[in-house]
Amino acid sequence: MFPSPFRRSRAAFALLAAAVTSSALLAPVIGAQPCRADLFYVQEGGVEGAVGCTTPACTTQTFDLAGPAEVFGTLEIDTAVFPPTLSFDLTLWNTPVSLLETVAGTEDNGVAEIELSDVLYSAAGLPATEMLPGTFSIDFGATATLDGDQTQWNDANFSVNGTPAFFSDSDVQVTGSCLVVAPGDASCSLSFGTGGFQLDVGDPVPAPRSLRHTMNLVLLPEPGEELLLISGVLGLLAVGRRRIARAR
Amino acid sequence: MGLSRHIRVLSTLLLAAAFALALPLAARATTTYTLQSGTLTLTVDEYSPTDGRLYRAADPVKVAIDGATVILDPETAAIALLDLQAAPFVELALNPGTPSYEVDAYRTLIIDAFSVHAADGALLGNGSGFSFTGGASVDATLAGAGGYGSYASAAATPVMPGHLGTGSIYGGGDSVTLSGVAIGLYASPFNDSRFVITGNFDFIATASTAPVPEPGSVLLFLTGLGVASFAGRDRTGGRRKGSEFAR
Repeated sequence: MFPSPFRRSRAAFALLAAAVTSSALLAPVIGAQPCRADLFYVQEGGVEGAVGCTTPACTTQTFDLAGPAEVFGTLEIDTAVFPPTLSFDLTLWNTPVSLLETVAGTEDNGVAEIELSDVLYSAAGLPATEMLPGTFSIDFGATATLDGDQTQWNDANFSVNGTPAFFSDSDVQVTGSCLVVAPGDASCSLSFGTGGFQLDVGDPVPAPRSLRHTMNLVLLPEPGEELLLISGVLGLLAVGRRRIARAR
Repeated sequence: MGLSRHIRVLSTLLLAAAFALALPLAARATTTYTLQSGTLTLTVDEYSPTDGRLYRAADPVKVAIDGATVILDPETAAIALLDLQAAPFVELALNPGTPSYEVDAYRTLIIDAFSVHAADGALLGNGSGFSFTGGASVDATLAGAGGYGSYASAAATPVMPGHLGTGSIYGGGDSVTLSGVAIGLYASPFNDSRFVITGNFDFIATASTAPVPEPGSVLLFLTGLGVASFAGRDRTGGRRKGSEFAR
């Protein structure tokens, strides 16, 4: 009347195997569904463009990026909601964003170089428009929070304006687009500022300067998640097999 | 008598000419801006179907923009046209992990040309941003060089149509500053490689035509002209009266 322990464990194992097989078969189908939240991890890229200008219109540029600065972190595209949204938490990796005077020897208000380090670029739930399948453009008016440390140097390599100092801007204009090439693979370009991204530059009377950081990122799914899933499934299979063996 | 008639005819002609000029000026609300200076930063990512991932193909390259045209209509908050071209002829050494490099088809990707054409856009955020929801055409011309020789320049085929993201725009009147990004996924003209080409642009453009006068200015001009013609008429009338009195 009641199944034997052997039969019960075999049934459990069969159920488990069926679950694993069906999940393995369904995973790519589920993965291809457009309505879901995709979490991407930065694989390559970072701040690859930056300017410092006297006004937000940037008709007079006084600082330019010395070299690319890598970032790490996550970016999420949520298509389960309408409109789709973008969220990100990105942090500078090792190298600071170094802004140099555009013409050597022409300090801007006594400053030859601005160094921004440990900068965190974050935003949540920015509305986006899926212009074509797989292409997302952040809607205009979106803002991000930027905070970190900044140091200003003059041509004689002395720090000015009482720096280093912490800076934080909570309403930095963010624009940009992402192109999802394949499930899990995306290329994104994000631009922070010049709107809302200001820094007081110079000494003894600091003047506001408008900044812009442009990031180009290669994004991939986190390999750790896949490994975790596979190891979990293998673990379950091992437990099931051991139970069967014990029942025998 | 003859002189005053001449002045009246002249005044009427001037008024008619002013009206004829003012009407089309008032109707023309758009301003065309052309490139003053600007840069385009090109970034290339290669998609590898073998391991299903993207590789940064090369370091980004900053080049000068060769030409740009922007047509704005502030009254309807429209950006009627954004046209941008660059013929940079930049050589990008591809990432050794990419399929193109591995099969030695070509290890250097050459971008001969990159252009963006978008129409019927909208100005957003009180004119400080723009968007082209109707889409854009983003085109690239590629060439290659590798261990087996070189590949002639050819237009890359868009796999996913290129698009122009939202960007920022400052100014108005005599000059505007625009910054934005155009992205496209292209099939290589030479083999099965696929590239994401990203162009970040920043440029300043200046008004290429005289600014459109405001309706108030046109009215002021016409009023002045009318007063001048009446003053001329009075003077001729007075001279006539004076001559009669002298008689």
